[in-house]
Amino acid sequence: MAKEKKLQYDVAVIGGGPAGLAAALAAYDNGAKKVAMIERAGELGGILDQCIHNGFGLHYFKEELTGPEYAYRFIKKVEETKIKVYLNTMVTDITHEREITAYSEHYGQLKISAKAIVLAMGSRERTRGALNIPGQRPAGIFTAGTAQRLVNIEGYMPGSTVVILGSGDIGLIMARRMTLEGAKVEAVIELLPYSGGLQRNIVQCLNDFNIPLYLSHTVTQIHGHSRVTGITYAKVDENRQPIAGTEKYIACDTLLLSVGLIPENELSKKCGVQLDPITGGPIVDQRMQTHVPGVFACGNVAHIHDLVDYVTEEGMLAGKNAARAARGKLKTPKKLLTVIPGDNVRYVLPQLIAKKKAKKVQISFRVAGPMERGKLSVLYDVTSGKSKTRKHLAPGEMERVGLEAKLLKKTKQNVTIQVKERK
Amino acid sequence: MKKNFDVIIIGAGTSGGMAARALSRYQLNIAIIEKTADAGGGTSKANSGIVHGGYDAKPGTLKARLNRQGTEMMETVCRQLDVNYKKNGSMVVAFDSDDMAALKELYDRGIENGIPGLSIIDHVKAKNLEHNLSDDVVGALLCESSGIVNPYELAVGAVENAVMNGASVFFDTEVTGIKPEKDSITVITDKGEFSARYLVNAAGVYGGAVAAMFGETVKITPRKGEYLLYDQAVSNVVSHTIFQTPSKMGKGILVTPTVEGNMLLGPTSENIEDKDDFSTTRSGLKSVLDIAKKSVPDLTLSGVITSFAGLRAVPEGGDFVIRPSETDGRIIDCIGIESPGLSSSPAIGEYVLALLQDAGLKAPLNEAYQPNNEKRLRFSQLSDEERAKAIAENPKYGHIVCRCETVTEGEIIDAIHRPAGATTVDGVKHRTRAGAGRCHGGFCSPVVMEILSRELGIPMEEIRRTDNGSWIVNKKTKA
Amino acid sequence: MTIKEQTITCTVCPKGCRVTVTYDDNGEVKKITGNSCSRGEKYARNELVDPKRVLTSTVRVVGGVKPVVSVKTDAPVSLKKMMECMTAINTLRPNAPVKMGEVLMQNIAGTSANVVATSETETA
Repeated sequence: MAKEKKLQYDVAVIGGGPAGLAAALAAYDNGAKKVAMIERAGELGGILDQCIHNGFGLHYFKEELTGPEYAYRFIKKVEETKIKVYLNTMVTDITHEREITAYSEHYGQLKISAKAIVLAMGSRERTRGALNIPGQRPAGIFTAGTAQRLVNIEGYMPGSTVVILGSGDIGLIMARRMTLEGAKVEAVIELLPYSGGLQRNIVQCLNDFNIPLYLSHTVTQIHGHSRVTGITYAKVDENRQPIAGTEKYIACDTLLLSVGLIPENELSKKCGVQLDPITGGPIVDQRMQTHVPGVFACGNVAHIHDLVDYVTEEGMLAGKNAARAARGKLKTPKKLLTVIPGDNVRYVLPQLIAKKKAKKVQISFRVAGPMERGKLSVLYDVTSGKSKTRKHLAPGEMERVGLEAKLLKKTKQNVTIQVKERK
Repeated sequence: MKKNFDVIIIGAGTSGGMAARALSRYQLNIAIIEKTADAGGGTSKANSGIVHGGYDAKPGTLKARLNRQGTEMMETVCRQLDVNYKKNGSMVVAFDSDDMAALKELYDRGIENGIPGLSIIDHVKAKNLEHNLSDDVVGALLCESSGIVNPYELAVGAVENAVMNGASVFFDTEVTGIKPEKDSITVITDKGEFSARYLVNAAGVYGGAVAAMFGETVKITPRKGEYLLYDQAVSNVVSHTIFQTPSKMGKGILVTPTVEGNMLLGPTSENIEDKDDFSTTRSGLKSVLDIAKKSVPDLTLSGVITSFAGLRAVPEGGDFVIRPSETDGRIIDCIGIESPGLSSSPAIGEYVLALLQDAGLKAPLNEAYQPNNEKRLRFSQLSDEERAKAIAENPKYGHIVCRCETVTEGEIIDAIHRPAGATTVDGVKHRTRAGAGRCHGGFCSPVVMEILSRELGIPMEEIRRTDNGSWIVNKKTKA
Repeated sequence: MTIKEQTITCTVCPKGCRVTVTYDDNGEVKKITGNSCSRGEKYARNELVDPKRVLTSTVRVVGGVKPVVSVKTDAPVSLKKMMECMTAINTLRPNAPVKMGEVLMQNIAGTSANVVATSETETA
């Protein structure tokens, strides 16, 4: 007879990265007695464990930490609680009724039922296939995150001469990291006319080491039978199509891809959560609750963040509300307000506002294109709130705006976030 | 020292593997010599994976006969070799009256070839069977006996079965010369000399080059076909394999589910020179989608997890070249195995055996012959109860390594330690699907490397993705 | 005497202010604008003369559960000295266990910064 363990928790958090850590702690601190955190890796911390560079925690801790240090502060706190941590354990299924199936070598098959679930599985990297780069299929093509793991966790070099496609933050960080470890990074190539990464990473990871960044370029061909021997890159036109005659060749043995992250929502879909086609994550209200009652989402599962500090905040919000939901204290009114991405705004989160008791509502958003100066304003139905000027707006940097409680209270239908360019 | 065998087969693809398997029913000392790192490392690894009905080949040809026989055998062979196979049926769709006339010809040819389950259906019936077909489809040739199979599993399974029954396989071994002598044939490789009484040339796109080594001229042209493979999330677009009616404009692009439930579009068709050119092209991939949209208009690039190219070994005369060599009767050519080669492969194996027997090969039956490969545990296909039971027996089945395809460490260890097991990251992928999903190995490949390193006792720096030179990491940091 | 101008992206915090530094031929700073805080002003001034960064890397551990632990310098070090610091870090071979915050090397490459562990490992 197969042994099946049936376990009951108030709050079960799927994922032990920064979002999951914050959610589990917040749930625990807000009265959830039985909290479980399920992590597929052998350690808590998630992607932070391999992000050994500094720059984490400036908002949350008001000091600059490395990724592992940032995670460590939360892991230590978790160790002081009675939160049950399942490591090396992979969740394979979540039902609408919040029944979780998970597997591990140590625990075998786990069946967990939870009063509330927080989805905090993070994201995965976009691959070459998703980009459809033509050419051979040699070894030596890595996503930047895989290379980061090989170098920082496993202690191996994925190559000696490197080209990086995409100027996402992990790619920029890896440009510096590979250089410091003795590799030659020939170039970072970016399809768009602007970088997708944080400005400080352009300065500290590329400029500091004289690594060229080719904007409005792309890799048009990968060469090499067994291992990468080089790449061809070319300028692109305004439609992002390669311009014939502008091709150049770079000899290299490694191509790193840093072309974006995709929220991992295979499990979310299994339990019936509705996804936002733009963020790629669940549609949530200001309490981070999805359309499925008692199921919450936070961190990169919900939308891709560039700063872990905000992931932590979001995790805490989700965890706190999950604890309330577990106690039956989270009411969702029938009528929800819709938050709409207006002019020059690509997406907003939360997408919904459960109006009852909505107090301090913070909206995260990204602009559609870079803007030196922009006028940010919020429309409450048709009433305009106070507008603010924001500088250096870029799609690579998440923006946030707090809603005005007074105006929100009067709102009947929707809230629109919009940005107008200011010359 | 020269290694001596009764029969040497050059090439561990589906044809070579099936030939070796057929031969292993007899007490014979068999060697398979393979240039790449794994079974199915050439043409077998990248094709449409279709088990064709058999209406397409010209009546009276080897293709027609072996296709019909192979397709008949496929279900049994796949069960024996533990290979994923599904009889999903195919449709050749027509867009105008010329196409309909061509379908009629195909239908008649199919009847002549003895193919069961053929019918011509109209627009309404076609749309009923496949809702996502274009409204421009006026009719279709339905073939119920057509199926889909995992092509590299078939090659790997055949070689595994041959090795299990006593054959030897030498991977990463490139044949550089062949010397037919009076009592034996010497095969010179980069790993030393082999000799045998009989030789089978199943070298795929290199079939012509190998034939030249024993003095025979056969022209085999590599023909490249590019494909787009989609995430399993994009399933249920079609359930049948959808071909377009072959015309002056070409054979068209097929839209098919794979046996694992991904969607596959392709192939293009381009004759090339380089026998190792597996590169995709911007124009090729664009044309795959553009032409496929003629059949299924709603297709987009969204959901593509990878693109790849395969090489078909195209013979000059249009038919398979399976015959005793003109230069030496002890050598059997088994080349030019283009489509429907995969479908024909079980029959090709039997035919090669028969030709060798005609050439004088005699041996008693191998009493210990075991037609069935040891059944693999496929965790993703098990019920919750079966999973719990598997983990109770071996906890390594509780460690899910590949999250996209739900592949466990237990399955990876098994794939490594099977006869002719996996030695590379792609070898693991082809046997278990670890790394074949939407993240395409981003998360699991470092873990797969560690498992390979541990189980094979080789350092990480020596773990390859595929063939020699396909290293993944080249040194330790701080070294 | 000519007056020069250089715009520096401040990296003290993720805000990324564009700070413009005006200076003369002698390198004497005349004016700093665009910064939102005093740290930004100091950063821009340093950036002109001798940019400094916290260096992060890994160190190979002997006998640990993990092959490497991550490390950082506990103070920013001159960019000019970065490769020299890396050479020193690459030779470090601490024995397991290594604890979070443990100083693994003092005064790296004469910078007065120490190399400290930012992760930890048990003994294998």
